[in-house]
Amino acid sequence: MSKQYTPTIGIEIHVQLATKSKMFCGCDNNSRSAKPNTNVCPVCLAFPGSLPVVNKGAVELAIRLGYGLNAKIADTTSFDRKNYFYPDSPKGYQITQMREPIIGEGHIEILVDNEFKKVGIHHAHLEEDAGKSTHPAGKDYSLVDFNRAGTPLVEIVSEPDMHSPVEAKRYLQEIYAIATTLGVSDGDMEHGNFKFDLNVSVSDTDELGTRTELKNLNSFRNAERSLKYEIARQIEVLESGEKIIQETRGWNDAKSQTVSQRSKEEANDYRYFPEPDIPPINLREEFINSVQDEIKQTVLPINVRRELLQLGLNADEQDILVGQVQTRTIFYDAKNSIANPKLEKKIVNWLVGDYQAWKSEHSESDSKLTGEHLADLIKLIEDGSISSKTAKEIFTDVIAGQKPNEIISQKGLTQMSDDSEIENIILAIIEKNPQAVADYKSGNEKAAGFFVGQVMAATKGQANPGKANALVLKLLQEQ
Amino acid sequence: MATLEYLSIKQAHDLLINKQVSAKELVQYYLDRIAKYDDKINACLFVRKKNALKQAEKVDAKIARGEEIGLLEGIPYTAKDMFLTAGVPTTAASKILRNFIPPHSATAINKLKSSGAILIAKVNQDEFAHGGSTENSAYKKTANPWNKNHVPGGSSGGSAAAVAADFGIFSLGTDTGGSIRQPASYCGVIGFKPTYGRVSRYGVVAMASSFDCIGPITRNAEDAEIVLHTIEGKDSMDSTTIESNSSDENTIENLTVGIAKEYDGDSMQTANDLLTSVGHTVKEIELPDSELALAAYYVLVPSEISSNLERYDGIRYGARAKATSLNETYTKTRDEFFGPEVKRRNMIGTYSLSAGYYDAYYEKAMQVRTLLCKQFNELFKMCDVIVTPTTLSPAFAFGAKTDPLQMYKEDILTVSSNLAGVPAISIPIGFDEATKLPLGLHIIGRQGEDTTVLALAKQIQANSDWHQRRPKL
Repeated sequence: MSKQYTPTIGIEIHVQLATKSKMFCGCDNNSRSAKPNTNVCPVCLAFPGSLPVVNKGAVELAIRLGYGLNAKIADTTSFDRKNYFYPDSPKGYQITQMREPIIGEGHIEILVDNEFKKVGIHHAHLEEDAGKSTHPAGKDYSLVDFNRAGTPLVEIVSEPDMHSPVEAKRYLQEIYAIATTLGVSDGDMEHGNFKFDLNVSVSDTDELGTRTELKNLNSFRNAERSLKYEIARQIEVLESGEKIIQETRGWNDAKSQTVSQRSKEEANDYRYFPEPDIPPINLREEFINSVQDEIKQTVLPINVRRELLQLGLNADEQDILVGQVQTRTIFYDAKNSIANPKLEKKIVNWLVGDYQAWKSEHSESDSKLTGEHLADLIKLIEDGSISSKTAKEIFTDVIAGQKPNEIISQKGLTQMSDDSEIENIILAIIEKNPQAVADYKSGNEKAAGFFVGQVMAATKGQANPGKANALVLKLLQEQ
Repeated sequence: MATLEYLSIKQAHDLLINKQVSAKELVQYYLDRIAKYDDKINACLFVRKKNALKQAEKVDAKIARGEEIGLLEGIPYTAKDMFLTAGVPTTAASKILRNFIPPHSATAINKLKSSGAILIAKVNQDEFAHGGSTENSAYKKTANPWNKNHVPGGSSGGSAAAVAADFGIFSLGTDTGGSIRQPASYCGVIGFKPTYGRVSRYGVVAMASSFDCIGPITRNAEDAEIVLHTIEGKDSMDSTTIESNSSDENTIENLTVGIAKEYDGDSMQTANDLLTSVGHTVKEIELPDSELALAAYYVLVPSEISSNLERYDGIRYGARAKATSLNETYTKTRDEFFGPEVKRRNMIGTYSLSAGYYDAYYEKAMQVRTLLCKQFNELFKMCDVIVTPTTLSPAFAFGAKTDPLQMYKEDILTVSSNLAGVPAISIPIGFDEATKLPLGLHIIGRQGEDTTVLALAKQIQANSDWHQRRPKL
């Protein structure tokens, strides 16, 4: 009989900050379209005599993030050097924060199986990213691009408060939502704006087991998958009577397994010491308040979840509205515009259904969908002016920025709701189809469907289908 | 043409505006002098001929048009090879930066350039400023102009020798533990280390970031003051710089001068008499433990050095050794192109920052540093300035100090002011009887009171003539 093991998970997340310039120099913080080694200067290339100057914008974004993490911002924050040799580390050390991180203890709430749960934040600190190394296959050289060197990052270190892969995934998604909602990060996961290391151990007692670290993941799905794998692996090792080795492991996506990379014995001695080129920074309370006042109007993601939970949305639906800042803005605008709680679920249905389908084939930046237009569209369906089918057909135009009212009047799509008009059409169809009338009369009720279909065809779909059905039944019985 | 030997900034300026000499002639005079004497002195690593003359022509054109020129316009100077100079080789006297030509200049060099001063040469030093004799240069040994068998001191030995030999009117040096003051003392000139942060370190090859200071080496205290006020000031490129008030003319009537009782040579008696004669009160004091300061210095400075030198990895610039793997690139490059003293300090620093050693070395040394700052604060409640000899003895002969520890002890009287970040100057106070070599007086001031130190130096010079003695080249 196998024992009951509890997994314990702690997470370190690297969030790239959405500043204009790099962490310690004036270079552009966006190198996506820049050729290698063109977005660089003496500071981020570590020329002799160059010195780092802290980017105030990065400090401000960290202070914002601190608000989202319910954390205390340090009165005094300072930097440290982490020394290691690697070609993409131009100075031979990374400037980071070890003794006095800018963001102190905090916590966030996550929603797992419709229950709210707290996860502690140990601290979060500012640091710089390294350049990017590539190792061309079959070549006897490697390449380094320093465009990314000096990009500002915040590393968020959680408490080991998570006990299942799904909790870990929920935590990651929540931090992601907080960072993007508060404008702290662009959250471009494909470009590595949000990367994380997962520390996991299992134990069948109150004492924590030996942990392994799964390094450098950048997808929520793989976070969950790698944790499931690693937890199972650790239990298997323990069950076979062996010990867990404290080590760093990577996730091999193709093989769907974690693989050993480096053991504790091989770990670097980073020789941390206070960064002498940057004096400690005193953060005055007024400054912290003025930065946080800018974002106090923003609804934090967890409160969005609270609302969506009441609307009966499941976790996946919540994720869409919580994870996509633009979609969420549309939701709130539409909600205010429609001012009818009963219709809020309908807004959600459009946004998690048709809108996501459109987004899967288009770029979000091409969308001009507004909450007001979406609300108008829903109102037009509700008052019977158009059918849902018509609404779906014109949705692309609404996304393109056109007003629903204008689209339907331009295209003549207003739903036919006038009884007498529809009756005349039905009567004409009855006259042309005596055999179908006979079928209906002989008890084949399905024949009524044929007439409804004919009505819709004759009106090019503009007849209100409910009304058409009722009138067809009424007129057939009169025959 | 007027005599151009050993001009002060003001004398040269007057000659220029009175059209007794052109800026071009002035530059040519120094270039000729370097050509004539530098094979004996070996102070210069790179002489900037064409561009220096071109720059001088512009100054002459200005004078010809009747425009006013600034005090430093057309004034030729040299700079220690630690200073990045756009388009001009900058090696820090190391093989690892052989052929390195920086794309931009240090803030101090830029400030001098915009005030019109003309850089005529980059001068020798100990490699990366590690040393006290300039014998650690990877390129050449600089001689003391007073006795060519003796060292000029270091690490700014090229600067001090160049000023003593009249290769330019002043020189820029760097001082991490005495590297401006000790060579100035050995070469019979003035060396001033300002308050930490008063002059931007941007574009100056870093030795130990929390100690490094930029300052002038000159032949009189007034010139040091002029250069200081030109290069000082807050710099947006250096977060450790401070705003300094240039107009803080301090009156120096009746200062209380602390003299350490443990140093009682002839030069200290001379200083004592001179200071008393001009109306200051001399008071015996007990200095902070200089053995302890030296020990802390030689833990903290190598620690910062080991980190600051990590960028010299052969990847982006500088020399790279032929190698077959990444690790070999690092080890071979740094083994081949760093000299022995640089490697030694790298090792010491790497150890003192390592896990298991940090608490016993780096952390302890930091505590000593904090304590020393407190002790200085206490002393400066009792006196306005402190004077000591700059060094325990005059310049030594080449090869006299082969034991690194002996060499480290050279800094015993100067490191404390770097640990505490306070301003200090070395000025000539006489000559050693046995060797006939210059001796220096070391004046230490309160943090930020750089002008008090300079004003006292000016006063001493007004009442003595040691700074006007010249070596026979």
